[in-house]
Amino acid sequence: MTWFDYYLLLPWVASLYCLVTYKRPKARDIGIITLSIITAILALTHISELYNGELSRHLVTLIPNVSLGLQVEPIGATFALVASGLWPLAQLFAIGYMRGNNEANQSRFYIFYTAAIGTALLIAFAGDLLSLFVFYELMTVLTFPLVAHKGNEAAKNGARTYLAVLMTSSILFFLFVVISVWGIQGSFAFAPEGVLAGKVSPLITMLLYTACILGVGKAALMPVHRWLPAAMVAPTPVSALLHAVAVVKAGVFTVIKVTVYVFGIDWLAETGGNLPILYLASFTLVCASVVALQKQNLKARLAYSTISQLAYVVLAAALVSTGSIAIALYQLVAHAFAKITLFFCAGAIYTSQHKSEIKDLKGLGKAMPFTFAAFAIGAFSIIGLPPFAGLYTKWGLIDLATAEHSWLLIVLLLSTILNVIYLMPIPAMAFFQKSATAPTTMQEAPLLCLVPLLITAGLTTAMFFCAPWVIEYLNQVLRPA
Amino acid sequence: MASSSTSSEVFQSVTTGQHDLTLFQQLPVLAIVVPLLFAALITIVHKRNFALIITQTVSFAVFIASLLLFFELQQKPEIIYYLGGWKSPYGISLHLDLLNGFVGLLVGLIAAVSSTFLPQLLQKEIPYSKFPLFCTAFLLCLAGLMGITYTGDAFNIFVFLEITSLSSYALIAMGRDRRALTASYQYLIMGTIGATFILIGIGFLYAMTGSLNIADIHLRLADKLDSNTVKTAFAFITVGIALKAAVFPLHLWLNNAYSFAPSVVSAFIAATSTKVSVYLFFRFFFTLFGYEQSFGNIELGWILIPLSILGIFFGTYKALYVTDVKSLLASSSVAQVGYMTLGIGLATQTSLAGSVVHLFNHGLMKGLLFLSIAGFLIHAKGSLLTQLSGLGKIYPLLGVGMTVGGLSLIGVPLTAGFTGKLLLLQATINQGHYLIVAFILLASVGALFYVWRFLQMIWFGEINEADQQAQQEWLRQDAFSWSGSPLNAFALISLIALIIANIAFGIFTTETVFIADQIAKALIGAPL
Repeated sequence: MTWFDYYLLLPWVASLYCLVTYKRPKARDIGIITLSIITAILALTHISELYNGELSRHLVTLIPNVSLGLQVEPIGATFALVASGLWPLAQLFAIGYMRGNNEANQSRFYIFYTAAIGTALLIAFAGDLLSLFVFYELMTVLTFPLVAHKGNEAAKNGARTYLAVLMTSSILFFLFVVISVWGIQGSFAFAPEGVLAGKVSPLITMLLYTACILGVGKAALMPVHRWLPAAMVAPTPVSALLHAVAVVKAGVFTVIKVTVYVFGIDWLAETGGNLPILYLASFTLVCASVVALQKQNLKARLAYSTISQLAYVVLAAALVSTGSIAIALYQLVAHAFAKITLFFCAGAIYTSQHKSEIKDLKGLGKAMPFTFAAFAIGAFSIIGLPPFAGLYTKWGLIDLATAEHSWLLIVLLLSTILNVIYLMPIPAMAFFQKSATAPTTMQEAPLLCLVPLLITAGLTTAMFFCAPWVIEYLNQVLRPA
Repeated sequence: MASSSTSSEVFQSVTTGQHDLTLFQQLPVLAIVVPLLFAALITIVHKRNFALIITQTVSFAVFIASLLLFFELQQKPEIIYYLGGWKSPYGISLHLDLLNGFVGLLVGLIAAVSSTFLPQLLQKEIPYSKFPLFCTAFLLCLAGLMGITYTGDAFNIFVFLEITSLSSYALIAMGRDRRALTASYQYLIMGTIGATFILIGIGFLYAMTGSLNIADIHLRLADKLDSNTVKTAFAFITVGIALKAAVFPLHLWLNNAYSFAPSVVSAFIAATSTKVSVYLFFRFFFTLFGYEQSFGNIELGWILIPLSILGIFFGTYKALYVTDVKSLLASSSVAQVGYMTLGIGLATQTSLAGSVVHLFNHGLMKGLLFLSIAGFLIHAKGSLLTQLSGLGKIYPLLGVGMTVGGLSLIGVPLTAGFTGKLLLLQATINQGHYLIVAFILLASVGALFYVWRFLQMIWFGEINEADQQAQQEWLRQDAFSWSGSPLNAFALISLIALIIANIAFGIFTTETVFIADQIAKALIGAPL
């Protein structure tokens, strides 16, 4: 047992611990917070080991020559760092939120919440294509009870859509590609330069790549995005978990991973197999923003904003160069910080004021100044304003787009304008509009909710200052030796 | 025989000369004869408790015997038991190899597990007066299944098939719904046609070779493979077994038979009877006719693969709309048999191994699912989806049983159902049939939806007032309230064992896959 085993096991230990302390909330909450902090510290203190990619684990042998295993590499390490680094914050917030709203069945909730984090780490380190698929499905199953948590008709319907869309797309398309790759190369293994180069025709490459990315429904590329707004029925900590830390990030992470290690960026660039996904991602990027404009519910708007932001990651990945993969990864991280801040804010507003419609937020800035300030920071970052993390994504994409796909500049411009239109009114309304019903005294959410969102807002800002270094580092580790 | 030899020399040459066999060496025949004898004894004594205890004891004894034989077969390639000491082509022999040892183990296991549920059946579904007769039929069915599995004689297969069929007609007819009678009648007609076809086929083979011993027929057929009689025999036997195994489009009897039978009978028959019939496919196609004949000269794949795919499609499709859970599971059985015959049709080592693994694991999951339903039915009014509403919340362990069985049925990774499907997929892509791969995946999505139909009902449905009262009433009366389910301790243990088996066979697959691979190698490479 090395630190790595403990690191992988801790979320599962936390899950079991919740089962044991089912009826003792205090012991349970202190326990999982401690475990989550230890996990985060383990990850942060072993960054260099995670990035040099020598750790691997064999889990089970399914049939001869086919087994599940883990292999650490830079892309997975980045995702794992985001997931385990944000877990303590998400956990603190979840506890604050669940207590503040007196939600039922909190222990059951945490059992699956922590298990989802554990699965995210497995996805991050999945050593081959089959393991990746298996863990990806495991995530779908484990997050299902979270989405259905409230147990009312709406929650059940939402959860059903969630499960149906994700399962169907992944089995029909993703698994088909997984098995086809198995047939083509005879194993599920990843390779740094991809495994398909020269083995299939350009047309087949294009078809497989398109099927694969659409099959990874968690990346929420249109038209397989329906599950994401449906999953909004879940309590807000889940939305934060789904949209910033675990589920959607597992989706785009899978996209990046198969792009690099299965299809190979050079092979995709050579055959043009990436083009359909490139167009689809651009379309999703704009279209989701337009839909977000029409949503009057705060969480629904954020959901469509997520779809649009995920499309940035897919777009960057589909530009297939080392630089674009680095940008895709960077966007994965930057969006995680910004979006988790926004969802935390939505949750904090709900906990303190029980408001979830955008029109009801008028004048709330006085009551919750910190929350709305943090919201503004998250929004600025999504839009891509300095000095916040999101700027470098757009910058990097513009840089990449000018070379070959100059039409992307228009897409980026359009999307930025739309971002401003659908996000800025929210803090603006809160701070500058007057409302007769809004409270005039400070009524922030409980500290357990407030502190995490201030920290993530801080991280969003801090990320801006280390972005050039981060991107440079990612570029370095991604370049095959 | 040489004309000069004396009668005692002839006698010595046709007998084994062994008279001092140990009990262990007698196991193959005991596994068949003991249930047969005790079935008769139960009818004579005709006491309820006696019948129950004997049935359970004998079922467990058969299970232990099959287990011991299976372990024995790990050491040596085959066990041949000569009945009455008469050597093979002259007398009847039981011929065990890894394949039928494996199938026999499944039959023994499911019989033992199902027998623990019999007391519940007594409470609810079978009138007291008929219970001894029911047990007789149950043991006869078990004896027949073990006989089909272990025998090395083609005609014996027919005889045991008839024993199994006749007793299962009786078992099915005892269902509490009057429709059980028509279901049983339907099965009787179809089953008789199937058995007759098999008999005609065996008759033709006897006419050609003058032998009934499977290994012997195989040797004697070597120079007669092109004869039309042999080909006709092949056709008759294929159709006959296909009827028994419920291969599309000969599956129509299965749905009603499984739906209206008493729930324990559904579990026992669903988990064993079609599996044993699929085993007969292996035995006849590979051991008797040989791989060359079945897939070289006759090209069976051309008929078996399309039929399997149609079976998978229609089975899955029907399971998506029927309103009765038992009927849903029956339809899914048709689909699952499709996977097994698909493996046979592809006829590569991997596909056969996949087929064998799936045969065993499907027995495990169908057993688990039907027994969980048997548990629910002790209190629930019927097995309509709506009648099971919310029952998982009242009886969590049974709900877990349904969930694990359902996941396994879909083929979720790390459950028993996944291993066989993975091997089948591997075999399919190795042959480049990507269309079939796409089809299997489509069917898996279908399976996901039909499993979801009942899981959603039992976990998220509204709890029925009457069910709740029934449970509370029962909790007041019964000592075993800690489990929250209306099962006795034995039944609970076997249910938990099946749940664990369904997960364990998905995680620790090295052993099963190795055995299946050995079997497949033997089937293709060197027939008996």
